[in-house]
Formats: sequence, structure tokens, C-alpha cells
Amino acid sequence: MSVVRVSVCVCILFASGIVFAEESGDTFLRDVQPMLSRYCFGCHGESKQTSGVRFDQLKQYRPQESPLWTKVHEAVSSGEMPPQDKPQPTAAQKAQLLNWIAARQREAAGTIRRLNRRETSAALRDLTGLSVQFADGLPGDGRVGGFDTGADGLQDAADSVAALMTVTRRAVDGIRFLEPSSGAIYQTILRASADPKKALDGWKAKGARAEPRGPMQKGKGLLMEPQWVGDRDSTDFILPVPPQGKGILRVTIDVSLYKPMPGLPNPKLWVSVSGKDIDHREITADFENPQVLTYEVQLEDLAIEARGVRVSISNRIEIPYSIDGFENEETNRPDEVVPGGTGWYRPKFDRKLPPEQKPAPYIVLQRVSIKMGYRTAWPTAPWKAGLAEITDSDASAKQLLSLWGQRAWRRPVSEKEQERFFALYQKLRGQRLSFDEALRAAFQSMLMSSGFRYLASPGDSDKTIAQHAIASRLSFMLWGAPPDSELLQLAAEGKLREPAVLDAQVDRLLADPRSDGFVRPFVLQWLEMEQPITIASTSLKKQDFRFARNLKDSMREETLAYIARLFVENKPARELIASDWTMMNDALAIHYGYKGVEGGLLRPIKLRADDPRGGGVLGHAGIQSMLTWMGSNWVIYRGAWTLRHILDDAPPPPPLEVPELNASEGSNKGKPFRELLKQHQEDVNCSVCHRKMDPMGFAFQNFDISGRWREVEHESYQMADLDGKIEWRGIGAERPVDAVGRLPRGEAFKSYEECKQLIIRHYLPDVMRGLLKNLVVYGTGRLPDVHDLALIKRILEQHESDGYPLRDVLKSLVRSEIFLGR
Amino acid sequence: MKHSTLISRRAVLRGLGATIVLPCLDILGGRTFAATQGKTDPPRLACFYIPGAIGRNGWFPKDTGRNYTLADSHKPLEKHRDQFSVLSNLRHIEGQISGHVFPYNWLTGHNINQIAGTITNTISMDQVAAQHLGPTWLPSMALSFRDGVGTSTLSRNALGVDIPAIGNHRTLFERLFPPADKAQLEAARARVALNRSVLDTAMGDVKSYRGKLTAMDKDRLDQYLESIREIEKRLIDSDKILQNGRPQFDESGVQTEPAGKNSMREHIELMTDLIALAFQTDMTRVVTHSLGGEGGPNYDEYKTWAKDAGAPMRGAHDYHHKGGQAPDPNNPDAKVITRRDEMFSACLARLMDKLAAIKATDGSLLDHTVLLFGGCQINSHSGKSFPTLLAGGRKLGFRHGQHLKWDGRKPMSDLYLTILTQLGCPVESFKESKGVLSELLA
Repeated sequence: MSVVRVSVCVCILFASGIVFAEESGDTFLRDVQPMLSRYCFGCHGESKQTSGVRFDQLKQYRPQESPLWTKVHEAVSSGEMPPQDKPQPTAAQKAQLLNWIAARQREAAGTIRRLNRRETSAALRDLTGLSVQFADGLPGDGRVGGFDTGADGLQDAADSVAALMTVTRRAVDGIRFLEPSSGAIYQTILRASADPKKALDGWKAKGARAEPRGPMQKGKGLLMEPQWVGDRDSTDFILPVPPQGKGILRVTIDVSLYKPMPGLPNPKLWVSVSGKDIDHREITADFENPQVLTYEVQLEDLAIEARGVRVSISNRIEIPYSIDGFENEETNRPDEVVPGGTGWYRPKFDRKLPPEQKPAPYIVLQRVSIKMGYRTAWPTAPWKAGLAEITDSDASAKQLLSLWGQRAWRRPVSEKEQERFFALYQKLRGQRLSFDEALRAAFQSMLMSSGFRYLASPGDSDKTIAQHAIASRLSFMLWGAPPDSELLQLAAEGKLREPAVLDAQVDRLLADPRSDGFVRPFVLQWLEMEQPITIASTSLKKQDFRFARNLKDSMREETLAYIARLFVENKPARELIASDWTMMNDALAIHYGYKGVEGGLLRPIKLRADDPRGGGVLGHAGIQSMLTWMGSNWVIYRGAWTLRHILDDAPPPPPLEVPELNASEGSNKGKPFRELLKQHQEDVNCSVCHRKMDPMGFAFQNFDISGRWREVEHESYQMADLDGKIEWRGIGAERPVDAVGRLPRGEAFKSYEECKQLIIRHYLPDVMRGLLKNLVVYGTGRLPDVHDLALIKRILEQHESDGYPLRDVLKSLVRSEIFLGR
Repeated sequence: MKHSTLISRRAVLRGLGATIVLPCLDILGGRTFAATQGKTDPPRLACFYIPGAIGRNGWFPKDTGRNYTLADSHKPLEKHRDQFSVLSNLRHIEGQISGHVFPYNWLTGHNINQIAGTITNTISMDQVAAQHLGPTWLPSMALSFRDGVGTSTLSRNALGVDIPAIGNHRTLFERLFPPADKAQLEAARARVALNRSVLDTAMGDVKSYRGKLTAMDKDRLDQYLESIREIEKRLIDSDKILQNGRPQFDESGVQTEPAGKNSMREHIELMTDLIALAFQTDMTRVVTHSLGGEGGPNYDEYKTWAKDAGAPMRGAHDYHHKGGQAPDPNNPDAKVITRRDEMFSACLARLMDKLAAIKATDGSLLDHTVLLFGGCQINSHSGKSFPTLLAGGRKLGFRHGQHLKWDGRKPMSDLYLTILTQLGCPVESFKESKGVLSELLA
């Protein structure tokens, strides 16, 4: 079974190439080029570059070209290349090539990488104790194999480093040592105020404005009325802009939920600052135990209006409902079955009713506190232990530098390494900068240094560096954040190569809520989910966009939460493909036609035995609706996606000049899509890949454009624009869904369910190999080379008998030399 | 009240997602900065990338030479006929690629897909120009329809690394114009000095780290080291510029406008206003600007064009697939694409109007500015012929008013070499160039 196919060749072979011996560090010209020239140039040379692969310009081994050599190694060792009907190299020649590749990959590989944008932001948050999204000021990163952690994609141009300079400056500007936080403060405790309205009016004296929306109740606070789709009002606080429009804005609010009657949904709190969305979350707390929420925002990241900085808080209902005695406003669409009523809007009620009689959930704002120019006292509480009191002295400066250094560089920092930064501090003090200002500059300099910027190699010859590199690799992989005290302690004790210790850490990190920092970026990138999700329900008309957004988010969350559970609960690999459960919330339950699921929180739901989609990632509405496009080319997109992301059988890139499969052009008009595809597969340029992609894609024909199950399909589909809302319409005759197809190695299926069963029976090792390869890129920053692939194979063999439980497989990877070696 | 204008300018110009409005500012009396100083005007370069396929029915003039018939897509440029040329059939030969990755190599000519699974690249033409045309407050500006690297930007540095593009007018304005009043100048210079100390200290650490690394790891670190060196150099240049002061104009007239509009035309017009302003005030001399992506954005103009052409609603990507290769000029999707090309031409004409109205020491600003305007596809996914317009630069030796068509074997790099040579850059070749295109020169 070959792992990655480079190509299937139709070649004309002609040996060419006069070899000039060149001086170079490796034996490429002597041992490799003659063989490539003889057996490969015909299809991968000057005149022809099948699958975009070309060898004739190579003069030496270059580490950047390692992925190409990995493919060569796989294709040659599996016997796929050269093709059977072409002249073959001898066994000794083959061995020479394979050994050369293995040796070069071992010697010449890079081992360090810089932090990416996401990780830099998380590290700055962890260091400063601020919750600012520092990433907003940083440029994006290139990708390797789809991941933002790939070393070769993490480049640095001067403009990117200038942005890093700005952002690290903001980070150190957000902390203070001896000087007090000096910005303006606006604060009202509404629940304790004798006259809450008057208290808010008092903000005017400081040049600020409070614009509450909803009734005020003494002893409670502001009852924020719900907004439905189309409502625009929110409770706003408008604050004067500080000089230069710079610094951190800190908002703290206490909120609770008030439901006048049973049967109401939970509302969502939305917080935005000057138009930028900061948070949206479900509110469930009771009055006595309010949710205390704090947000920190960098003013430089905002679009500030002339009026001032605007903090907006609103209560939004993102789910349709009605309750007894209050029917839904929308009665025109009896075909849309919604729990508790029909339609998508709110219940009918008299707007003038007092709050306790309205069929609407309220968010109670009990306290609001806003600080401008906020700076946090550093070190933060957990790191303060054992520290002498800070004074304006060299001793204090040294002590703080040492602590910052350890945390920023994620390892012990020697006295000698600190000298440079202390010298900077002293120089700046000499220029009359204050203790705080000088220390902040020295801190920033540490952030611009390699210790912060780069992740070292776990194979480093210095044992301390290597141990701490393992700690960082573990935490950045499983939390997307720097290591905590426990990991640093284990590294200091030199224990991070002990299998039992590593296993326990994987368990601990995965069980922690911060593991969202693993699942979210990993799964979004592995499954390429950061594409727009199309939703084309004919029922989502003009005003339903907010509900649709809620649904779209929920659809994405379903897949994330599903895969998170597979890891955390150590489920076997087959559940990636099929199971009897999925993750659902209220919005998804409506979408999937389930009852009795309340609230926005996703939870495991056992599926009905007669639900044709069943469990498993391939049946998630978010996945299948993402893979739709205009017309009916979904078959190709869905097939290619499944091959690439699930079956580890990625099709090569299309040839340079690809004709479009255009169903509405000339002789193609009116032909069924299956027939067009057949035509397509007969074309010699297309057949190579489409023979696999197209029959695979038919498995998902039962999923409509919104990812819902359908039994019939239309001849074609068209997009229409209705009052700014995009709608998809089926056109022409209906016919039963045709889901007959083939898996890449030829197993035939007649339905989606059969397809899933065949994948479980015949392709689980492929699925898991694909997952492991992706975990390797994500966790180590390199595309797996031949050494990694050999180890992956060993991990797979080891777990074949137990069905590849996901957390155990992850542990095996972490214990292996793939993770610990370099 | 001086103080409050100051605050609102600084506060107001910051931010994400919103646009700014430049009023008709009377800047430097309608002259370039060099003209106000009685100095010779330096050359400028702006490169604009047209995403996706052009509508080929409207794009190509049906005849060649000096008396060619203006093509439909270029109608808005009619009054500038003598100030631009249509160049057909140039392309990258070694660097031929396909699909949606053209922004990577339009200006570099590098075959980025030579090695499957990785993207390698080399320096882009604009950055070669930037190396020789400075120093200015910004060595160059990479602009786009959105912030980003990869296909969002057209510029690559000497190591082939993506230079992140700015898609936001406010960020651009803030970067372009350092503070002009005295107190702020002092603060800015102090900050420059502090930044240099911070970087200098960090640099010492990075260098000692480098000594311990393997060859490949050194390569990775060198990108960072090179960038730090570049920033240090810029800080020195910045300090000089701050010391000398910069051209001043009334910035209180610059206003904000709420975000949420989805018009590409407005986006481009405001960007080109800022480009004209940057060239006039000499804050930079080199700009690249990507006019959109391959898969969108689906901006509002498409709706109007679709309605007018009787085409169904589609995404921008799909119009290009359906219309970009339709042989029938009456195909509604093809008409949509041609309307888009017309809009781009109108944006170019508008920029040329502005530049032509600004007086240089010798001629107009347009005469000292080379405008390259083009894309890579005359067909979906194809990279076999680049639709290209070249405008401006009369005082740099360009001769316009013609449609030139080659045989398909002429490399685009020849054009790049020609541009670089006329800009006065001491280069002998660019990528696969064989020589300058003398047909373009006076």
C-alpha cells in the first residue's frame, strides 16, 4: 500500500543530462543525479513535469526540498516509481538513493521555529496577565501542510518584525511596578445604588455618557431587554478618548439572568467596543451569584468614532421560540417545525407589559466598571510568591528581570544571559527614565530576543534546554500557550523523557479547559474548516441572519467538540467515521430535527437509530455544507476533501492548464452531472485524479447545501438575492438521490452508510496515518520526513489491535522520537 | 482648539475595519515635495494587480501599433491615451504556474511550485526598486484588499519572504505620516532612540544564539536577524526625516467614516488617493496594491453588474470561471467581468488624473511615476499570457499610446528589467530577462 502517490505516469523516457561534477556538501551529483537522469527525467525533467515534479534543475540536497525527497522515498520504496512498464533501477541503486535521502534528512533538517501569531499572543497574555488579543496587531503566518505551526511558513520580513516590535511595546506598556495606574475610572454599582439611573447620569461630570436600554430596578440594576434580529439598540457607555488614543481599556461587568416565566430560552450577552465584537456568551447565573466578566482591549486596535470609545452591551436572543399563551409572530411557514411553535421570530406580546409579565429573558446588569489607560501590577499574584518587596533599586530590577526572563524564555536564564538586559536598564536609568520605564524597555528587549521568539529543539545538546523545549512543545501543542509551573518544574527535574510522566502530562493538559487551544486550531486546520460555511436554507429569509450566524457557529463547534471528546475520552478511531452520538445544542437540534435540547451549550446527544446520517465527522452539517459551491460540483469538492483530509490519499495539484467542467456550456447542456463526470474521467488529463475524487464524492449526495439530509435532489441549483439575504433554490425536476460510488481502492458502495462501513473495515489505518501526519506537522512544525513516517508506521502497528484509541495514540506520538528527538 | 484636533486626529485615525475620508486637501500648493524644495523629482513606482481572469472580449484591442483601437475595458482611459500602453502576451516562462497562487509570483517570476508541498520565492521587482529609490519614511508600501501575507500581498523581500500587506486605510495613513507638530516630534524621536536601544540589546542575544545553531536553523534565524538590521537602518533614516520635518498639511480635515460598506471601487479610490498623497509628499516611492483576491471578496459592485448583464448571482470566483473563458461576448458572466475591468480602468484613470494635476519640478508627478497595472490570467487558472497596462513615466523615458503584442515567448521579466532600468536602478537583469523592451522607450 503506497502512502502518498506522486503520480501515475505516461512517460516518454529519454536519458539526458551531461553531469558536471560540482563541489558540494553531499554526494548528490555523484550518487543521485545520474540515477534520476536515467530513470526520472523523462516525466519529471525539462520537457515534461508530470504532477508538477521536476528533477533536472536540482544540483544538491537542500533542506527546503525535504518534502519532495520524502515523496521520492515513498514512491521508490513502494515500487510505485518508476512505473512498472519502464526501465527499473537495480536493488542496489534503489538502496543507494533511499539511504542518501534518509541520511540527508537526518543531517540537514532544521529544528527550531519561531512562535506564530497565535502563540505569540498567548505567550504575551500569559506573561503580562492581561487578556488583550495581542494577535490583532500582528501579521498572519504562512502555512505548511495547512498548519500555522510549520517552521518553513514562519517567516520574518522587516515589516512583520516591526509589527512585533509595536506589539511587544504594547504588552510591556500594559504592566507597571512602582507607579500607580493613572487612567480615568468610570464605575457604578447598580444593584447597590439608591437611584441607579441618577448614578449613571453622574458619568456626565467626567465627560462620559451612559445610555442604558431597559428598565432600572432598585436593588437589582439594569434589566437589559432582549434584542431580536433586526433590533439595533444596545446599552452603550461612551467614554472620552485618552491622549493619543493609546493604551488598554478594561471593562468589568456583573451580570445575571432573570426569567419572568418558565419556558424561555437563555439569552446571549454580546459585548463590543467601538464596533469590534469582544465576547458573546450564554448567561445562566442567578442574581445572588452573578457572572463577573472582565475584558481588556487595546485602543490601538479599535476604530474610534469622534464621539468617543463606545462600550456596547446587549442581550440577544438567537433562537426562535414561543411559549404557552404567547404564540410566535411568524405564522406563515407551518412547514418549518420548530420546538414550541412555528417560525423563526419572537412570540407575540404587548411591548408595554411590565418586565415580570413579558415572555422574554432579561440580562441584569448589576455593576459596570470601566478603566482607561489600564496597567496591571506585575508580577501577577501566582508568580509573586517568594519575591521581595519591589523598591526602586538595582536588586529589585535584577530580581524582576530574572523572573520575566524565566517566564518569557520558558527556561532558566543564567546571570550572564541577563547581564545584557540589566545593562540596558542601567543605561536608560542614566538617561533619566523612571524605574518602571527603564524596566519595561529591558523587558521588551527580552521579548525581541531569541529566547522568547524561538522554540528550541527537544534534541538540543544542552539537557536543560532540551527538557524545557519538551515542556514548551507539549504546552504549545496541547494548550496553544506557554508551559505552566508544573511543566517547568518537571523540565527542571529532567523528567520529561519518562514515558509515565509524559502520559500523565498529556492526560492533565487534555483534561484542562485550555486544551481548547489544541483542538480548535488543530481541527480547524486539519479539516480545512476555515472556509465560509454556506447555508442555503430556503426558510432563512431576510431577518434570520443572526440565527443563521448562531447556527453556522454551532455547526463548526459540533465538529470541534466531537473531536475533542474523542481525544479526552480516548474513543477508538472508528468513531471518527461512525458512532451513535454527536454534539448538539438548541440551534443544531432544530437543524437536525431533534427535540428537547435546550440552551446554547453543546453536549453529547444519542442519535435516533433511524437517523440516516448517524454519528461521525463526515455527517456533520458544518463539514458537508462547507464543501458546497454553486451548481452541483460538490461531488468533486467533497470527494477531494475526503481523500485529502480523511483518507490520507491527497490528489496531486491539477496540471497547468485545466479546462473547466462547465455544465451550462455547449454540448454539456442538460446532461446529468454523473455523465459529465464520466466524460471528465475519460479525459486523460483529468482521469488521474478524478477517477478517485468523483466516485468518492457521490457518498455525500444525501447532504444538501446546508448539510441537512435529503432524499431527493434537483436538477440544478441557483443562488438568488432576496433583500440582501442570499438564498439557494432548487430548479428543474426532482429525482431520488444517487449516492452510488467507490472508495479510492475500488470498494463499491450504494449509500452513505455503506461507504462509512467500508471505510471502517478497510481504511482505518489510512485515516489514522493521516491524523498522525497532521499531528506531527502541528506539534513539531515539520512535514513528516522518512524517519517520522517510519515511526508513524510503528505507532500504527502498535495500536492496530486496540482500535487506535485517540488519546493513547497521541501519547504514543508524544513518547516517540518524532516528538522528543528533534 | 489645537489640543482637541490633535487628540481626534490621533485617536480617530487608528483602528480596524473603518475607512477614512480624505477631503480635497490643498497640499503643498499642488506641487510635489521636491518641487517645493526646488529639487529634481525622484522616480516612483506603483504596481496594481488584477485578480482572477480578465474579460478577454473586452480587454484586447483588435489591432496593434500606435493607431490601435481602444478596447472596451479601457474606455475610461481614453483621455490618457498618450500616457499608457497596452502590452499583450508577456508572461513568466520558467515561472509559469496555474490556479489561484499568481499573487505569489506576478512580480517575482519565480516558479513557486517547483518543489511540491513547499513554496519558495525570490525578491519581487518592486523591492528591487525600493532598494535603490530611497531612503524615504517608508521604504515601500504593500497594499491590498485586506491585511495579510501569502496571496494577499505582492511584495517579497530579498530572501523571498512575504511582506505583509495593509488593507486598512487608517493603518496606512498612520504609518505614512509621522507626527508633524513639535512636541510629538520630540516624543517620536525619543521613541526611535529607545527602540534602537531595545533592538540593539536583543540583537546581541540573537547573535550569540545563532552561533550555536545548525545550518538550516541559522537560515531560519537569519531572516529575523536581517529584519532587525533592516529595522535598525530604517530607524536611523526615520530619525533623520523626523529631524528635518516632513511636508505639512491640514490633517484635521481627515475624517472617519463608519465601516460596513462593501464597495471595492471606494476601497481602491481611497487607497489610490493615499498613494498619490504619499508620492506627492515623498513619504514613499514604491507601492504594490492587490485589487482583490482570487476567491472574492464578493463586493457590492458585482450585484449591479450582474443585474445589468442579466447574469445570475454568483460569487466573484465563479463569475471568473463562468465568464473568464466564455468565447461568446454576449455571455452574461463574461459581461460582468468586463464591467469589472472597466471599473479598474476607471480607478487607474482617476489616479492618473490626480498625478497629472500635481506639478513636479519638471512636468507632472505622473511623468515621474511608472504605473504597472495587470494580472496573470486571460482565462481561468491560466498563466500563459499576462494582461498588462503600463502608464506614466514620460520623464523617465517611456513612450506610450500603443498596443504592443509579442509572440508569447517574451518574458515578463524583460518588462520588469525595462522598468527598473528607467527608474534608474543599477541592475543588469531581473530573473529570466534577456534585455529591455526598447519598443516602450522614447
